[in-house]
Amino acid sequence: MRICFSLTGSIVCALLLGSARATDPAASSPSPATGSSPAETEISDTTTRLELAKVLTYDKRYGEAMEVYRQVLATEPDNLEAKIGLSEVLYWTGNSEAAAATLKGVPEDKLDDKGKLMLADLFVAKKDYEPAIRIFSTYLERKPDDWTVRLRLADVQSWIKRYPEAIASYEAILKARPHDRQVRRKYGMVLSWAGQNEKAAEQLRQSLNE
Amino acid sequence: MKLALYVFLVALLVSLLFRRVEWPWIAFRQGEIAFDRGLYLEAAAQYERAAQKLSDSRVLEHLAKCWLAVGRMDEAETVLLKLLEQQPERLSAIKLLAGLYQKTRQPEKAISLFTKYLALGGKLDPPAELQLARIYRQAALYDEAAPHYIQAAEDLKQKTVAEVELAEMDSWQGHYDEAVQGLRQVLAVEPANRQARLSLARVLSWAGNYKESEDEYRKLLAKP
Repeated sequence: MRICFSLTGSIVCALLLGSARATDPAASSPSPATGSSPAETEISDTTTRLELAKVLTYDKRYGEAMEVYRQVLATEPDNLEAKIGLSEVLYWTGNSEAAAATLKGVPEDKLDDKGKLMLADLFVAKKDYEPAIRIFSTYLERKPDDWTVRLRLADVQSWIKRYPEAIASYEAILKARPHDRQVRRKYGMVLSWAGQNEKAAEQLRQSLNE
Repeated sequence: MKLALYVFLVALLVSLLFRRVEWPWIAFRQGEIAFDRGLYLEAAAQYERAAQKLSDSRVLEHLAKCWLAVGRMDEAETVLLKLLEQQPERLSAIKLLAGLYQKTRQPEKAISLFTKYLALGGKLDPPAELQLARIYRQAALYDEAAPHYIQAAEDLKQKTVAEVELAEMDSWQGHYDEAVQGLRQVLAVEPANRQARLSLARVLSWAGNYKESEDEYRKLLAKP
C-alpha cells in the first residue's frame, strides 16, 4: 500500500511538474519596451563617412569631401545621400556636368526635397528650364512659404520670358517680405521687360528708398 | 497488474481534477512557453484565457508584453490601462505603458503617467529615472529632463548612457562647450564608446570646430 501511495505520489508529482512553473509567472519576464535610445543603436561606417563628408564640405575642403562620398559609393553604389552630397559639391565647385551625371539614373521620386532642389538647380545650370520650373512648382505646392525657392522659380520664369508668372511669383515674395530690396529690384526689372515701365520705375524707386 | 491499473486510474483522476481546477494557471503556463518561443499571438490567446479567471495582475502584464511584441499597441494600451486601474502604483506597468507612448510619440501621456505615480508617493528606480529623462527629452522639455538624467547617472549601469544623452541634449540647446566637456569626460573613461565619439564629432561640427570634428569622425572609422 505504501508503495502504491509512493507511486501515486510520484505520478502526481510528475503531472504537477509540467504545470509547476505556471504558478510562477515572474519566472520568465520579457523586458519592457522602454524605447531604445540613440545611444543603443549601431553606428555604421556609412553614417560616419556621410557626416564626415558634410563636415569637410562645411570646411570648404571639397576635394576631400568628394573622396569620402566616393568611398561610400564604392561600397553602396545606390546610396542616395552620398549621390546628392557628391553632386552638390561638384555643382558648387563648378562641375555641373559631373554633378548631373552623378544624379543621372536616380528616379526623381526617390529624391528627398534637398535632392529634388539640387536636381532643379542642375537643370538650371544646363539651361534646361522647363523641368526645373516643374520641380520648383511641385515643391512650392507643398511648401508655399519657402521664399528662397520661390525666388529661384521667379528668376527662371523671368529668364524664359514668362513674365506674368514671374511677376506673380515676385509679388507673392514681396507680400511676405516687403522690405527685401533685392527682390523688389528684380521685380522692377521684370516689370520693365514686360513693358510695364511706369510700374517698374515705381518699384525701382521704392527699392532705392527702402 | 491490478496495482498498475490502480495507479493509472488515480493519476488520470488527479490529472483531470487538476486540469479542471487549475486550468487558468495551465493556460498561463502555456502562454509563457509560447512567449519564450516567440509565438506571441498564441501566447496572448493563452494569457487572455487565463485572465478570464485569474485576478493576478502579472497575467495582464504578460498579456500586454505580448501585444507590444507583435506591435498591437491599441490592445497593449487597453490592457495596461486596465492593469493600472487596479494597481496605479505598479511601476513595471507604468514603464511599459510609458514605453508604448514613447514609441507612438505621445510623450505627454507618458509624463502624465509618471506624474501621477510620483504624486501617489511612488519612487523611481534608476531605469525609470532614465526613461523619464528620455520622455522629457522627447517632449523637448529639456529643463525637466536634466535632473532625471543626473539622477540616472548615479547608477553605475546607466552612468555612461545618461551622461551621453545629457550632453547631446545640452548641444541641442546650443550649449556646445558643456556638451563637449561632458562627452570628453565620458571618452576619457571609455575611449571605445562610439556613441559618445559620434556625438562629440557632431557637436564639434555644430560649434564650427571642423578640424576637431573631422578627427573624431576619423577615429570612429579607425574603430578604436
